[in-house]
Amino acid sequence: MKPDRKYRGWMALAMTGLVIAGIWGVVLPALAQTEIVREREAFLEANRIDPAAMFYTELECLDADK
Amino acid sequence: MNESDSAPAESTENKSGLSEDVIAILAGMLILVLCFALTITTGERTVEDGAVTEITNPLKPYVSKPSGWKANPIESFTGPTDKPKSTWPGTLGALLILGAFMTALSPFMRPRANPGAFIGGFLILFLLATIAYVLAGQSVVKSYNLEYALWALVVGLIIGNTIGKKAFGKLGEAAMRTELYIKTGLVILGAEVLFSRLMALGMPGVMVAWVVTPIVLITTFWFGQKILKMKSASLNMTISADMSVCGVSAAIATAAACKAKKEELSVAIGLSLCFTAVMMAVMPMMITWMGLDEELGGAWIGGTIDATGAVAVAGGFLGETGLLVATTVKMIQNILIGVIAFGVAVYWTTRSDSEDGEKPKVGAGEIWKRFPKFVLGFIAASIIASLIYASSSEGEMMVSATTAVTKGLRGWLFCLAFICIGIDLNFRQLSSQFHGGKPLVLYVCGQTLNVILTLAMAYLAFKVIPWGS
Repeated sequence: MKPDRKYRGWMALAMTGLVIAGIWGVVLPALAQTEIVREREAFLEANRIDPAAMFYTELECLDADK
Repeated sequence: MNESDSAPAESTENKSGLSEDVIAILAGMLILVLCFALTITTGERTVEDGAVTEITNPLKPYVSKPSGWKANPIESFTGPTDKPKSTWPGTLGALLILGAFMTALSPFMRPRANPGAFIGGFLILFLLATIAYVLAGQSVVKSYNLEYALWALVVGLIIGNTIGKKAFGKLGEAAMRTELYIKTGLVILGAEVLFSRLMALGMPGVMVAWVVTPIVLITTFWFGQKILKMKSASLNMTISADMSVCGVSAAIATAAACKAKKEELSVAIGLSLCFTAVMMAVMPMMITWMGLDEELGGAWIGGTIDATGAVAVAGGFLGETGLLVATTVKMIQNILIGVIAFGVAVYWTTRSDSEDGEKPKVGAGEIWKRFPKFVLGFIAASIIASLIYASSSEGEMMVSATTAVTKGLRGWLFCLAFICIGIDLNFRQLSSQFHGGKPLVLYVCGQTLNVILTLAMAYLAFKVIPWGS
């Protein structure tokens, strides 16, 4: 990789990192405080649901019928 | 999966060493044997009224992933201040276990790797995988079923399209082994595919999950090949499987079985996650509007929504029965991926290559040469775990205690694989897969058929046929 291209690559990575830090550090935490998200989280917690489960073994809510 | 476009040119030196399939079986089986042995010999047994009620594997506290968080990403390693739950020992433990196994096997890999370079590259990939897990753990992201696989791809894509994989030099070359991580993860996943749990809902569950699913899979594949005339049969198969079976996990298993390209797997997963987020919200509303009861609605959701977690969310919106039926149907469907992966591997080795001008009929030796051997490790792990599960009253607890550890390691391996896929991909390769919009049309048509057939079968199985009651 040429030095100029290499420099641009690292700059692009740094900029993308900043954007991600902004979204995950400011926007999403603010959204997490909204009533609708809090209600949804309470519902998931009460039902022991992991919405990101990829396989049934990751679902706690299935434990009761094991 | 096919990595031919990214693999280094094959020299004599590169051809020496064991294939990824053999290393994957070795690593996967060694990890499973170690975990089962620890459960059986030193597992902590909880006894109530003279009977063992739970077994805990001693490795359990030392294998986990970063947990969910709301405002502060550090909480994914320490837990929230009101409910502290340290996951950093589990993250470090997973790094140590996987790092040790893979580094020890690195001199036997094809192409051979220097253990020092391998561990250096592995550390970088593990750090990136940890970032992907932290991004996926944010509560808003998590609640919309945007799984770690997506964020691992995104993290990899960002690295690959900014500084590029050359920035990692020899370290990256040694440790970036997409197929190895995927196949080892799949062998380990085999222990979670328990045929003993197939009858959890009786015949109605089997009818919805095991009759409709293969029909939709085969019809969608046929539709893609004969009507849409999709150029890539492996992309067609991967989309058909992730849409009809169980989303990301089925896509990973099928893509590996039919040697799909990394960008094809990425497209299939992207499509599945987008539609899952929509269906997760729309289906419970439709069920309420149509006046279906929780049992029928749950079965419909379990058979149609791709992702397991999203099925639980949508089923939970219906109520307790809806949640139970939906997740159980999905569990039965999850078990189908062993059969699907085996079937696809056999089909691909015996027929599909004839499209490239080779002879349609291939001999037994050629079939064995082409067959993705890791599938045998996956099936063997599934059969052994199913036998242990059914062997005694403690069998179920032994398997649960063991998979409580191995599912964490399997997750890390898949996450590492998606990081590697992302780094290796460029946006042009990815966008070229959407040419003509055929993958999207295939997904929409296949899912429409899935929705209609599953509702009809669920109605028949749960409301019409009197199963001897």
